[in-house]
Amino acid sequence: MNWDNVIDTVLNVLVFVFIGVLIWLYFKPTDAELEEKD
Amino acid sequence: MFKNPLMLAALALTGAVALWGIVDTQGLATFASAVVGRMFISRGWFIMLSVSAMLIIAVYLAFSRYGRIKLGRDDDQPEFSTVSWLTMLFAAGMGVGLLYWGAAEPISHYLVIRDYQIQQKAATSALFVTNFHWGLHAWAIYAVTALVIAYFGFRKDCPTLLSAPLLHVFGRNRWTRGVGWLSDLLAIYAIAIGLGGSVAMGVFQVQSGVESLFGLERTGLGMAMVIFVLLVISYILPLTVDLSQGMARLSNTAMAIAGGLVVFVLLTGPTGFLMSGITEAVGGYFSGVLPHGFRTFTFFDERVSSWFGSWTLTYMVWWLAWAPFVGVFIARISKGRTIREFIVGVVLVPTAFSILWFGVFGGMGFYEALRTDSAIVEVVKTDLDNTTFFLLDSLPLSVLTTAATIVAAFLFIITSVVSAAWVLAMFSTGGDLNPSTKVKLIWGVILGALGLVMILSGSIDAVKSIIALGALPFVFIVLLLVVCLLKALKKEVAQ
Repeated sequence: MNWDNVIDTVLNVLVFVFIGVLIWLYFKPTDAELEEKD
Repeated sequence: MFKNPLMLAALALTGAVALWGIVDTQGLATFASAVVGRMFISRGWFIMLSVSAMLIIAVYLAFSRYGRIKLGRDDDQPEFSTVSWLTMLFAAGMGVGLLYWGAAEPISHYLVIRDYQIQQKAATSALFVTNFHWGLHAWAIYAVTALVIAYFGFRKDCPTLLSAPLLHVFGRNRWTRGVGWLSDLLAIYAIAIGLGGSVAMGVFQVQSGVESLFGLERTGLGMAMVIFVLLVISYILPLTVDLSQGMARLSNTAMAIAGGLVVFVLLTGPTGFLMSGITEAVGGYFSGVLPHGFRTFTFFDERVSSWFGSWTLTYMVWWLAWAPFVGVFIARISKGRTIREFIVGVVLVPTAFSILWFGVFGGMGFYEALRTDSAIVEVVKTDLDNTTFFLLDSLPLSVLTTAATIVAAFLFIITSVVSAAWVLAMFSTGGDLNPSTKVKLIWGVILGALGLVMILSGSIDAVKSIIALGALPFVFIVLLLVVCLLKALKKEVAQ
């Protein structure tokens, strides 16, 4: 197993997760918005 | 003061890096290069994608319906006239870096690119890459960060902290408090490390100027330490008294000298050649800047990959490291402007000035390298710090221009360190706009210690790696702030 590749993959997966979290945060209604709807 | 956990953590973190650097300078430089190299190989694509996204978002915000929103209350008027606002923006962007890299950077790129392109095309490409590093992308990073600080600070009355937008948009809960606290800490860390690097670069530049002025051979660490001590004495005093007006005057003087230098070189140098180079650079820049923002040089050999990492990626994270510091300054002077005015001013005007600057100094360097038998290429290879002075030596009144450059470099560093110590003190005391002298002095000392570490490393490459190490986490924080801004704007327009 090439450790360089493993580290590379792990770092990039973390970046993918971060991008996913950003997109989720953008569309997720905030607590204040949810309260307003109620 | 010492009951503030953020202040303690920030002092411990930056102090530890400074101590490590003093005890084992080479160890820190090697560690920084290894980590940064690893991150650049695996995440270079993400850095380029992020900075291009910031430019696209900046353009979108300027020309969308959000462009009409004011940074302040609806009836707030700009504090400064447009001309003085633009002049101050120049001052923020014109640091010691431009004095240092004016000719050195385009020629450094040329030395690599000429092995892959024909000579004439290589010079154009070298200027293009330099303009890319100092142009729209760099200023979009500053503009977006400053926009977040100004919008939440002036329109939403939040404290001037990077955690404030997060807490405002997502409410106070465990994750926003945790991530917000970490963002404030990393902002302090990135500013301190970035400024330390700037101090070192300024000292190298002044040292080289003094050598050139007095015809001294390489003076080594001894002279660097003398200049460093003089510098520390010069910035400690303004930290103890309120000299905001005096600082503005010093900064304007440095700007005037830099402006004078560029005009002097343009007029006393080969004016026609320089103007032709600038015209070519403008056309090349605007036709190629967007696609270049997505270039990662993946399919080139090891040499080009390493060049791309140590220049383009390092610059981009460098701007990210400076973004909170420059962002606070830009935000402070931009109250009362609309988002559209703000972005057009912050992104376009300094970019135009950078293109002019590198067109003149870089063009002059290429004139020497391509049209004369000057040794400038050798100087860039063996004595980078001396490039600007070597170039000025080929023009009339070189004693005067060399002395002026030394003074400008010295003033730029003093004003940067004094402002940075203020921003660091403000961030570390929960957004207090008038932090105590004691806190400012502590940060002044830490900035000095970090500068000393970078001077001891003795290499501009080591300095660049250490700065990049401090700035890397900032890619994530700035993107998170952008999401906060977009959400807040969407909500405001919907209401």
